[in-house]
Amino acid sequence: MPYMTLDRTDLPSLAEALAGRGKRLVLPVREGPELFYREGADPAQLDLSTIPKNSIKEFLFPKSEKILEYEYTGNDVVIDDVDPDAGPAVIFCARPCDAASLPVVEPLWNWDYKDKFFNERRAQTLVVTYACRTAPDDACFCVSVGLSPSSDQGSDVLLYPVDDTRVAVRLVSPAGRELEEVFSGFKKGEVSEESLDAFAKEGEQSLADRKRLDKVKNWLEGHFEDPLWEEKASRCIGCGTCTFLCPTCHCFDIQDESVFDGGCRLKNWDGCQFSLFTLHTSGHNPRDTQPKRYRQRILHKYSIYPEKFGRILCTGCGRCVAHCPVNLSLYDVVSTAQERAEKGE
Amino acid sequence: MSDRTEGIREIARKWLGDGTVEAVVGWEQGTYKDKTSPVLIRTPEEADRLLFNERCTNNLMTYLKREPVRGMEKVGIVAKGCDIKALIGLLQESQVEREKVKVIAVTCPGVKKDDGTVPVKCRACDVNTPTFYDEIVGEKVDSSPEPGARFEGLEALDAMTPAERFRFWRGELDKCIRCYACRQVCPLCICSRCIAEKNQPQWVETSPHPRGNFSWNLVRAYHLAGRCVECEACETACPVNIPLMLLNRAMARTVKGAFDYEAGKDPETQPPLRAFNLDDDNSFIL
Amino acid sequence: MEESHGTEAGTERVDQETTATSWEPRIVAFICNWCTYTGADLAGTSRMKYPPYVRVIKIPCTGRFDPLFMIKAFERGADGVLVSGCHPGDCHYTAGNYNARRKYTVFKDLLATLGIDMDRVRFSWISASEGGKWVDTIKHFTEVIRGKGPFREYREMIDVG
Repeated sequence: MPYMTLDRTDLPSLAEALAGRGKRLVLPVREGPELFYREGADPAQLDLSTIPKNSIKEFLFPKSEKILEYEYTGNDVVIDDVDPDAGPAVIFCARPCDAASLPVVEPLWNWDYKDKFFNERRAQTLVVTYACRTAPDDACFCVSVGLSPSSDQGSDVLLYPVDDTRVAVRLVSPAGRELEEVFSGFKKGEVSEESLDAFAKEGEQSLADRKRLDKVKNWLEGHFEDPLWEEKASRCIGCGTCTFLCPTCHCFDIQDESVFDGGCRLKNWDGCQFSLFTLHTSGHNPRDTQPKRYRQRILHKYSIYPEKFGRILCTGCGRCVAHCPVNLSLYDVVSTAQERAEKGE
Repeated sequence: MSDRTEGIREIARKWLGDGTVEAVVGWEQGTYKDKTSPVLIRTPEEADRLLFNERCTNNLMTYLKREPVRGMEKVGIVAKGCDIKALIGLLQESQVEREKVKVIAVTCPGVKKDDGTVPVKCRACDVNTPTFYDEIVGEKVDSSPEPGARFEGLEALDAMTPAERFRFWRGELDKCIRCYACRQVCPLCICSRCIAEKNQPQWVETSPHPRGNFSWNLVRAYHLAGRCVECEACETACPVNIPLMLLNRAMARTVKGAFDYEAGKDPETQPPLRAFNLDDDNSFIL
Repeated sequence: MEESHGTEAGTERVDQETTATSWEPRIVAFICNWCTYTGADLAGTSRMKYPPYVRVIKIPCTGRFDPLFMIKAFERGADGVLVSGCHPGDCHYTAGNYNARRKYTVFKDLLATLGIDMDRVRFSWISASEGGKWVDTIKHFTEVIRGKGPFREYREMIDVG
């Protein structure tokens, strides 16, 4: 079956057409030396030269979100539920590793409690993904966790930049297929299914040297205490860069902010690398050193979460590798674990 | 640069071999692009991992404040001139003992940022050849600080009206995600429990909304006023690219103008907010 | 006076609020126990009149003043903040006010760098015998703040409660 192609130069107009009629539009634009996904940015500024520094997480799970309001009246407290500040949205030219984070975290937000804030946003968000022809950054390792530079997981539509001028369109989900008309309006030609397969192969080839991380879970289960943690993570400074840039990290903190007659409850991003994260009121901290906190992050991603939800909590986007202030590379740690597992250590 | 690398390794080997230090904090080759990574070397055999090149941007003094280095009796640390300024700050405030820290100073012609550009601190550098150390490696590099480079970013800010400045900062600080990388990487953010982590009472709103972010960034800059040595670690670490050095340099300029003080110069002096003069400026007080 | 802080949307709200009879300036004054507080007390016992829109918070010494007090005051609805203590040389603890002066010097520049309207911040030395100076300071500051309207730009960076 052939797929339609559009001109790459038509992408900004396509973004506008998809967003049309008052949808929020998120797309990658350049800010200084780096790219960022931004809501409300000018589509003409669309920049696809590399992977953005932030993930798309913040558009479904904002860094700070009001979840209820309360008011004191006499001796009573009146609590008002708040609706998510959501509305129809289009995330345009997400990277496959970002789109793939959505099915990874969906079970989490729908486990014992159904999080209406995430779910309402998710239901109203259309994800148009821009496949990577080759790995856009040295830190990429999506193939290591079973994804690929042209993975369609979590995407409604997948765009393939098949060459310098043409972009092929594959409508992936029912929501994506409903938009056929919008895309057809930009149709300039067609490509064969084989050429998309070749495109996908080229992307995977570009990451041929990355290790499959299929034995990491087993290794971790037997190496809770291991010199590796101290060796790699004693350099960790305990900031939240890795967790906050990560498309799949989802921990949050609940804060009440009140004035004398009422206030609100906020859900804010939190991260396991902070010493405060596990600090008890008593003063005891079960994860009292940075290597223990770092181990927790790896365990959660590659052992605990897969155990519970059947998926690795990592899409190999490489942001925690590229942007760690002390260049502590998650890929380095998990690939070392994989190597040692392969050697039977 | 390779002779500096050799020099560092040699001293580290010697110190680790004869028990002068328990460990040496230095840089090693990183795993991402040409980045380097801080490393803790504990045996003479491992000393060959140490290196120095123009990508050694991290200020390693930040490790003096955290375990396991903090608990060590004697530690060696590799440092550029700019990094040593932070050590001087820590000595002034009695945060480390001089006898505990053995400094391997390295002369430095300047480092490069991730995007290949030269940081302001290198253009304004006056310590290419360090003067405060235990051992020094590398050929002498003369300093020729570019006039005006240090405060050049402030000109645009000065030219704005207050309302424009407020809008500018509101836009920048809105980006803050409260990852606290600025604080964690800073060698002079020394509190074992930061005011932003105290909640009885909660002075700083922890939420990353614009007002909480204003409060946090105000406090961070204020607590570093007269102490910040302009190593740029915070701005380099910031994952959302907030121009934190504009605030830090504005404070440095105030401190220079009002108290004729520059941080990180002399371990024998007092930081300006721990001292006063009877004839300090009184003109703005009614 | 430099450019007003009223944003396009903000100006409208400010107008509504200032024309409504309910709005009066909210001034928070952090004053030292030994001089300015006693000075304000003197103004009271001498039956001097001044605008009632100042909320006094007594601190032991201006050396105790922490810039966080000012940030918190603005967060929680202050339209102006005054810090006042003993004249140089008169500190009950010898040097608290000299230390405070250094803090003010740095912090006021930081606020200005961030674009906070510096007309909303005031520092003074008022001694125990200067009841009149206290009255004049409050009168004048109240008029300045009344002219500026509520300081919504800061506290409404998030709408809480």
